[in-house]
Amino acid sequence: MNQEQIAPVIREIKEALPEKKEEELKTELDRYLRYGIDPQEAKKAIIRKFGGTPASFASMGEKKLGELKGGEMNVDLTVRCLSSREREQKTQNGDRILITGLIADDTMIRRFVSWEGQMLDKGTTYLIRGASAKTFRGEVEINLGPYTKVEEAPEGTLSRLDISKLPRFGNLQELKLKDVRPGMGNIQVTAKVMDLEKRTIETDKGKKSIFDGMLADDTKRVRFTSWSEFGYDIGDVLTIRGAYVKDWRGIPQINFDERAEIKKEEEIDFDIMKTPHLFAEDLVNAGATDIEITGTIIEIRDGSGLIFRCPECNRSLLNGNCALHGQQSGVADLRTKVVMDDGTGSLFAVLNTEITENVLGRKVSECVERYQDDDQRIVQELSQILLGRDYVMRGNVIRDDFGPTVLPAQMTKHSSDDMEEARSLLDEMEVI
Amino acid sequence: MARMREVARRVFAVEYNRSQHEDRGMEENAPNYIITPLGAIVNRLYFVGVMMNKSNTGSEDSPQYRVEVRDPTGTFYLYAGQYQPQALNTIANLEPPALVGVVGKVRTFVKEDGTFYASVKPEVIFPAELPLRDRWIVETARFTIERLKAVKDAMGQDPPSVDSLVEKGHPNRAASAGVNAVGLYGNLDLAPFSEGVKTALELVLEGRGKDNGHETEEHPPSIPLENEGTGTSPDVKERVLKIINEASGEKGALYRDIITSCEKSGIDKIQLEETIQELLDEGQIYEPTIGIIKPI
Repeated sequence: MNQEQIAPVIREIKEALPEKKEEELKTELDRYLRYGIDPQEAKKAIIRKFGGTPASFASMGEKKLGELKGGEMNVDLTVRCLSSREREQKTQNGDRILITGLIADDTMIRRFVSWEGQMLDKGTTYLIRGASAKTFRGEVEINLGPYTKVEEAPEGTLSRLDISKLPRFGNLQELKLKDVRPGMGNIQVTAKVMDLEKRTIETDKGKKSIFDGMLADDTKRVRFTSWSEFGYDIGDVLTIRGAYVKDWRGIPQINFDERAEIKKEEEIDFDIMKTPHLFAEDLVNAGATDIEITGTIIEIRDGSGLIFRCPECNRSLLNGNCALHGQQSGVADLRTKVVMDDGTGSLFAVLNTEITENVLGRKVSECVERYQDDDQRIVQELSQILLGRDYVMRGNVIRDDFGPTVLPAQMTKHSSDDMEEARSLLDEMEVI
Repeated sequence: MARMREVARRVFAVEYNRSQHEDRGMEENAPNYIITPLGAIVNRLYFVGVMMNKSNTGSEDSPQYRVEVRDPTGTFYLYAGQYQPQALNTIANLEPPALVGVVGKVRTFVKEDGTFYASVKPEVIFPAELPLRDRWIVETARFTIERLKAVKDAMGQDPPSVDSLVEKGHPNRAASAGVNAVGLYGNLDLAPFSEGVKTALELVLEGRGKDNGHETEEHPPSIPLENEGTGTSPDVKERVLKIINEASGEKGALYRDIITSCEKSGIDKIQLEETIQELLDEGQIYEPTIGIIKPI
């Protein structure tokens, strides 16, 4: 390596370590180069060795959120926190608490992750030094690490910031309703308004009208709320751009406000007279209202059959005891907890009193007389009737810590012509 | 959030038993998956078949059952112990042959030489009827055909990609199966699987399960075994027996070696499986451990 090539490297090292003599640095660099180390690598090593900050780690200075492309290592930001929450994350060294949320400046909204417990409070404006930008699932995310310094910005910073003028957080995703998941930030859907209701709510700025209703496309129905004036009617097909998705018992609910663009579609229509029929795989990640699913009952779970409920709170009693109200003489009830599985996904389902009565062909009162002394017999009977059979369930699917659960309002036997289906599948085999 | 309940996949025995790959996951308590030759990722499965026999390899007090359940394409091997009380109880009370529905978890055994065996740890077993069997065959055939088509298309792609398979109209689950299959098994001969699907569907067309059962709630204690696969000629049986004798060492013959030798002499795998089953039933050979056949 000749002097001409070395000179600029030395110059860069000197910039990072101004107190060092050039001669000394040259000798040092030589030692690395003799081993065939790449000069750029050698430069970083030397700067670190003498306690400097390599250029690639040096601050890139003040940046706007909108300029970041992901991969920037050391940037300074002036932002307002829009939301933040703690989240537990399992790591190899046990659980750790992360803080995540949204921050904004006058260019855009981005998600942040704070790894060292620095808390950002909603509504406060901060000067952040030494943050990094990474790309996670296609979104640029701001990371606050051990070297990041966070301080409150002086009064009046970003005072003109108007969040409602900024685009919604996240890349716009165009989706069918069945693929809408709770927590999504910026979606576009095309769907028909099935029903609509105006509501008045109190806000700190006075009374405000909001609109609730149901949207449907050819895959699913999803409830929605419009937080601003909604000049459309039942039967209109709309393309809504820039909506976000809230979670109600695991069921997605589409929300939007004046920031969303809404366009009425004249050419598109959906045939949505019948209840959407879904596969279990579509329901594993998001609940649903009023859908139909066909599957095989493959397990009867504990807690099925004759149960007794607390007369005060309706909870089921355990050995005559209510978790809240102690010893009670319970009210008899029937229910069946099952696993229904269609080969694409597995769902829990709770069959209510009426459905369980229909399955058994007996009312609750008859069951009390018949099975009170032997509650296992009723479970055996339910197993004999239900296990391995295909049923069509219609109702809501909620989602909680135990996974998705179907709460059918109706359940009917699935009828099929297996010989006919076998024949057409054999025909299909001929052409593959 | 608790780990999501695993789906019960529908696969025929011929596809399940030819699996050579598993994914044990890196995390603690990660579920174990088998990846079948058609790319299905299986942790739990559901099937309906004929319980052919049962043997208690444990004691009377703590029973441990080894059970064979046949579908029209092959045999599922079940091992039930004290941790599967419902299954254990049902097995104890059933007299083979009996038609049963089985929900179970995958169980694998890898020999030192790398030979891979897939069996089933049953969670729930219940007596079934022919209409349930027919329904299961139709559903399983539908999923298997879906995978067969995707694997076939994936074989024509370099490299195969889920996106382009979905674009061609394959459902997402089948498209990923296609990519998995080609990635792990390469250009596999698909004939055994399509033959299996056909054999199974033809059984439904015989109409034994028709007008019987979807409306009845009565379960007979057991259903006699129908005469599937008794078409093995004495000639084939003799040739298979000869091959087994030749391949047998002191500990018996590897099932895979038998398959290879039989294929060379023109006996296909389905025919072979049926013949072996008959020889087992007749007591001419036995299976000291899964995958090993020994003449008596």
